[in-house]
Amino acid sequence: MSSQPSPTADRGVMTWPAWIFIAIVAVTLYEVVARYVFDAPTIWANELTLFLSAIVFLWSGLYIVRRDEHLRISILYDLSPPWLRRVFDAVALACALVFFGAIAWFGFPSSWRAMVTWELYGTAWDPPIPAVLKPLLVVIAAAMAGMAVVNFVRRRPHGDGADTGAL
Amino acid sequence: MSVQLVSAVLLFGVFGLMAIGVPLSYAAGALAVLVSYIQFGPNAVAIAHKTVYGLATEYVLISVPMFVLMASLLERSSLARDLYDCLNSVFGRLRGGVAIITLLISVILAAISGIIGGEIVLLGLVALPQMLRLKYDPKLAIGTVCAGGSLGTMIPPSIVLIVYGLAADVSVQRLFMASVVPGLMLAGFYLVYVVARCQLDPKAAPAPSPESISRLDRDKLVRGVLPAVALIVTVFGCIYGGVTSVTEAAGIAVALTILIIALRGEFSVRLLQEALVQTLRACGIILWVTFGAAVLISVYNLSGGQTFVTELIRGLDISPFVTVLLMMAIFVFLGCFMDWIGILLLCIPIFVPIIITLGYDPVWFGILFSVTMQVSFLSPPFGPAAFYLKSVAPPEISLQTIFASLWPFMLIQLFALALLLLFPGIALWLPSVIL
Amino acid sequence: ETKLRFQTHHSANSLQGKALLRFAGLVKEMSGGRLTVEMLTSSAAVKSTEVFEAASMGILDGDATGAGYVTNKDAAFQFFGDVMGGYDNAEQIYGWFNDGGGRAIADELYHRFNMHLIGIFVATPESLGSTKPLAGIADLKGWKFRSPPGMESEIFQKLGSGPVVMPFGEVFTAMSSGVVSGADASTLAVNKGLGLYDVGKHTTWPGFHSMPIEHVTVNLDKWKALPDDLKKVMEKAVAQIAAEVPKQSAADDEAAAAELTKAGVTIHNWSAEDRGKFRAVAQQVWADWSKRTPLAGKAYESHVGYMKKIGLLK
Ligand code: NA
Ligand code: NA
Repeated sequence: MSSQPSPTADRGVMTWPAWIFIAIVAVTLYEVVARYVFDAPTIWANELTLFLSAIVFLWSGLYIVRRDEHLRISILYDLSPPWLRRVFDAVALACALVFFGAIAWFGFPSSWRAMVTWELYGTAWDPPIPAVLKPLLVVIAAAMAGMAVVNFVRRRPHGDGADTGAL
Repeated sequence: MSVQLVSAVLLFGVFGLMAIGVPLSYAAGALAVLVSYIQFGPNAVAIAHKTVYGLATEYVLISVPMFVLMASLLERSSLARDLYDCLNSVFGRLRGGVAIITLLISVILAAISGIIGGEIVLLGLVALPQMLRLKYDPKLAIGTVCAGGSLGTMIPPSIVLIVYGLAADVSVQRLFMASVVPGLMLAGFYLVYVVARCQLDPKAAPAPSPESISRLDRDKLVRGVLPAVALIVTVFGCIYGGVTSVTEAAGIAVALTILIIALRGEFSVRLLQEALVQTLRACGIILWVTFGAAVLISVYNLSGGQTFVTELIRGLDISPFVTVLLMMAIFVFLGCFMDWIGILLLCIPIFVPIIITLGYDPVWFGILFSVTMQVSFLSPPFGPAAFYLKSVAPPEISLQTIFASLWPFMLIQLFALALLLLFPGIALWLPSVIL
Repeated sequence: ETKLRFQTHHSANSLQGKALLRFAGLVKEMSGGRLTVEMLTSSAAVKSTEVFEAASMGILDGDATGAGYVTNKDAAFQFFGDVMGGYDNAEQIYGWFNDGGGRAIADELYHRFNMHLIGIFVATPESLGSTKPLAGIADLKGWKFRSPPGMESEIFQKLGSGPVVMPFGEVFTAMSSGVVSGADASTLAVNKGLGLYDVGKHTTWPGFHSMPIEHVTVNLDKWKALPDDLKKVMEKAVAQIAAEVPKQSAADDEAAAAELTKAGVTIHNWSAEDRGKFRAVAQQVWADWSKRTPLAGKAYESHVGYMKKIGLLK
């Protein structure tokens, strides 16, 4: 069976960004209190939560690829003999490489530009959302492509244990 | 490639890849990338990066993880169990009582959330295990959670109606008003169905047990019902009392849940950590499917998808009402493969001017659209409600089982759609009285 | 036969969306079918904030949103997107663009981003929507409203208002519940269409605080590749809608005003004195923006120079 820890018991480094959710709650609380109690809305709370959540949203994809848990419909897959499963796995890998590879490769030039020109969000608070998130997406997509390859190699051609990703 | 060919390639491509077990996000994303490359050359492929970046920085998405986090916290506390024990001891005398309560809770939750997803995850983590524990028919329980949870965008506030209003230049407030009666009507139909199923089919719900009724203990009432009521009332008050926006209210709800758990003496860093990891996981599963689908829609729209849809409608010599029916059929059909936002961006800019020319009310049409999107949340293979539930359901509940549980509710939705088509007053009466 | 794909954030049913679709029709007609513009509406393919870059990279060919979406790329774009509190009507803005030096600065600015500005058009000044009376500048003190982020929030903050940053979609619930008292969306007629006055029974009209400039731009390489006569066709088509939109917009506003008054909405027409005060405060903010980049300074100077020439500023 899978050597992965169960979803909730996982305490590895890759789960650390999940704590950002708590930061989002804290910032939201701060904004509501500042605006409702002290009548002094901030200009940064909304954009900070946006910034933080986008970071976890991107990261969550990497986390899911690492756990090989993307949503899939597995009826035919489960009925297939091992060799055919291997073919299906290869098709899935090809798709992953095309999608994530395209994000990383073709997104690189504009992301690089956003980073070196330190492109800001263009608002009153003006956080560096494009400057940070565009390159981050490139890096994460590249890592997702890499992990998809690892998953493909790791999946054994026999046995149901190979089917870690089936939902 | 012509847009007809692109449509076919995308449709059959996604279908084929999904069928052999390719993850949905990979399938949609890869096809989108290939089509954009073939159609427009290498420059256009950057649209994949742009779309994912654009969606990741979409503010309304924040309420998704907030709802999931709240649900994960509640699941880990024994609050949910206490709550359902209490409810069961009160409503246990009614066959299917807990399913009915779940539906009523889903209507309340729909009034404090405007998105699809958060509510399903919440009910999936809190209500589903309780119904399964009480020996409800799993399919009935799953259907109740998915259909009830989808009401979040049917009952105002609703992101679907907001985006429709902005794209169709229709009063969002009017749409909200117009969706109240149809939303409650749909929930009422679900309720009737659940009650009828439980009466007719002894296996659908546990028999009412007299002993459970006597077991209503005060301690559980204080620990289970009171905090749950406080939570819902506070969030309700935050939105309708003018304290927070709808998205902010989800964050407040998380803070409040943590407070309640702490007051119950159950709080620990470990509990919080586990809930956070579950949230991260659910986000990854859901959002990346959404990202892949969004890239596909972007490329399709770039390829002239709007022109294709226009050609489908124009040039047909059919009566106005049949035109509306055809549009509904298109919505339901596309709803099998696409996200609601994609269908909206593709069709609404074309359909609404036609609807207005034909002399129909675009507010009514918006409600029709919203109901068809309820169907689309449940319809396979791209059924977001099923995806959301799957992201938190126990592993033995497969995506196939979930989809197999949903068809009775889809029939109910289609029935409601038919009523709205025949009697526009169901939608238009309330705004005409209030506004 | 050339085909160019443009995208706008406006919906197909809105005043500006219809104008842009008409622009596409005019191009086809005037070029005898040699040039086709496909106008995607409601940001169908790319998010509004990303259209400009998408066109400069070649994902799309043209961007028909507004420079207000790309002020983060160069602060000068603010002066091509909305000179808030500045001009009173479209003719003045067209005057600045054609005779006040706007065109030359635009070429310098847009070409840097591999884009070419074909032309601009403007509707009537926008109206605010509010649940509280907004009879004059004093009422802005303590007025909490949903503001688009950027220059607008800076101006209103100086006037004592509390700009709240939230997505526009949440405005309707937030205004009915009282989280905010008002919002800034669009012209009187468009606001009415969106249902802003179903939730707030006060508005400012004729508007003064904002008059966004719609820009019709195209990838510079694609522009250079066009024969001169087709370039002329596109310029003429933009000029045509630029002439039509303000008239249509004014007529729409008049009709909306009549209906709104009947529906019990209070229309606040600010005094010339209060409008002047607003412009003076706005000018401080423009001056601040003008220091952010060299081209912003240049654009600011050309605006102030032109406003002095036509008597808007002393
Ligand atoms: Na709702
Ligand atoms: Na569906």
